[in-house]
Amino acid sequence: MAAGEAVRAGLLEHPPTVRAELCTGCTQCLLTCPAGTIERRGLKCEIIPEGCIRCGRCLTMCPNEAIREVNGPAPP
Amino acid sequence: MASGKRRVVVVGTGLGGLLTGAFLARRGHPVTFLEAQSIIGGRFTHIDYQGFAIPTGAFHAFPGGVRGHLFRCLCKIGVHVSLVEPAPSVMVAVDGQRLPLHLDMTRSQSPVLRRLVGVNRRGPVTRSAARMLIAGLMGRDLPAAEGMRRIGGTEAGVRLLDRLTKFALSVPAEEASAVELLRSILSQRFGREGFLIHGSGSMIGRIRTAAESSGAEVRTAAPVRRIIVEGGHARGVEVEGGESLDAGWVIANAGVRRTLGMLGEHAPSRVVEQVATLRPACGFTHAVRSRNRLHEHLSIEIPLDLRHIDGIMPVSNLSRFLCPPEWHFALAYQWMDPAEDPEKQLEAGRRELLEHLGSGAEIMNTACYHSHNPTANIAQMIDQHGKSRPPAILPGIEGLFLVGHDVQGYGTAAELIGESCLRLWERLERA
Ligand SMILES: Cc1cc2nc3c(=O)[nH]c(=O)nc-3n(C[C@H](O)[C@H](O)[C@H](O)COP(=O)(O)OP(=O)(O)OC[C@H]3O[C@@H](n4cnc5c(N)ncnc54)[C@H](O)[C@@H]3O)c2cc1C
Ligand code: SF4
Ligand code: SF4
Repeated sequence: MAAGEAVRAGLLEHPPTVRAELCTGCTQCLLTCPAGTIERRGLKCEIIPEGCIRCGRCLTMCPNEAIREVNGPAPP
Repeated sequence: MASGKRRVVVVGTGLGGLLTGAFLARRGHPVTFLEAQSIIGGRFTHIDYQGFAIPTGAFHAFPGGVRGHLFRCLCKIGVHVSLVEPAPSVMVAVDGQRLPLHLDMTRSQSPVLRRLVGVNRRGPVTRSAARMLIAGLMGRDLPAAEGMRRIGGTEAGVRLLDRLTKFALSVPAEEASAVELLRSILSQRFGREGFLIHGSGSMIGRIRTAAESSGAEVRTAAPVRRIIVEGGHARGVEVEGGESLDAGWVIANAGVRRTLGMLGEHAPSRVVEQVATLRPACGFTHAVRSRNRLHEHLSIEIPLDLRHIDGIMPVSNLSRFLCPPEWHFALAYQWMDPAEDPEKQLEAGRRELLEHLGSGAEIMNTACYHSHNPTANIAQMIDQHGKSRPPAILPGIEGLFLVGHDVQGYGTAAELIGESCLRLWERLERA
């Protein structure tokens, strides 16, 4: 079990969003979000932007490249 | 660089990639790991969520135990893990009873189970199994369910086999290959199912430490876009963002499909066609907690009376390190039928599981994996009737070696990776 760590908030300009067509519902983003602002809706996960501290963790955690920053560059 | 040592790039830090990179680092090769995600371990690690060790894939199970291939791999790189080997490996829940099932085949099964499965005498069973293997070698395979019927198994026996193939291989018994299954069982003959007391993630951490203490470098959030091939030889890789790394050997652990994509025009068309025929696998993992004890035993439970849930791992009975002390914790596996509505299956599975586990149980997370999407959760494309996995070495490309769940190897789950790693390492040592 992790012994506690600092999360850097505000790394992203905008809260990211999940591209439903790529999401497999693996929930790795949900489990890693320090703000607890990701929810499962049926088979997909969704980010509730209000709670987002824009740390970017979910972006680098998704195995399916399904998460991107709104207005950010779309991965190729 | 010492003579005979090659620069090694490992693409992906799943179990196969990490083990092989650690092995080569300890043999003196300079090794760099490139991982797309921010964590290492792929499908063989866990995420700490509110103190619960929630897996990214593997249920902390260590098939084959201390006598298996994977354990031998760990010994070779100096990694120590603590395992429990519950006996029996499996408890079959049927009609309110719990019947023990030993998977290591070194012991005779309990008479109760013999009655349930209907397989009574060893001699005829062994003879039928041998006949099936020989037929398979001559290209005449049959579904595992059919094989079970041929050795005299009852319908309850077929149902039990179906649960086991779904749980361990992600395929129904009607689709699993009898021959592949027999070969897997034989390759694991004396191994006994083990459980990682400190969780899959801690084992991954130790492999990483073994690699790093031999000079290897681990880079996360570094997805590889392309494997550079020149004159029929893998020369290095290109990371997203444009940076290139030279390599004498490239170890590809990102899954065969993805690896073929990284090779672009250099991907051998025969393997591309072969991989296109393999079917993806999908399923759900439910993480359950309760203030009450969830099980009275230490074995994987196969709930034969349920329709959707195939197996339950009683995590907190096996280890007190994987959840907060005031909770009990279990992981349940549900195979997903790709032809049926996934949401309906999910709901039915959750309902059934909660009913089975009784009051106090709550599902804290359900993870779904399926491999139609470009995903790290590559299919367990094995043991499907009449299909075989691609080899570790692609024809026409030197210096490139594939490791991981979807290349050839025998045994179930991580045992398969251990077996294929040992074979590859022998080859690399000779090179
Ligand atoms: C639900 C489930 C339960 C399981 N339970 C068990 C169990 O209890 N016991 C057991 O032994 N086995 C179990 N397995 C099987 C086991 O998880 C797998 O056999 C094993 O983890 C696969 O390892 P791998 O080497 O194939 O790599 P993977 O785990 O597939 O890892 C591949 C890695 O490559 C990375 N990658 C992908 N693309 C790129 C890129 N472009 N650049 C760089 N990196 C990239 C990925 O991010 C990932 O980290 C289970 C599997 C599932 C799905
Ligand atoms: S950016 Fe951070 S806070 Fe926002 S959803 Fe992703 S993980 Fe959660
Ligand atoms: S990590 Fe990616 S694929 Fe997994 S649930 Fe989140 S968005 Fe979906």
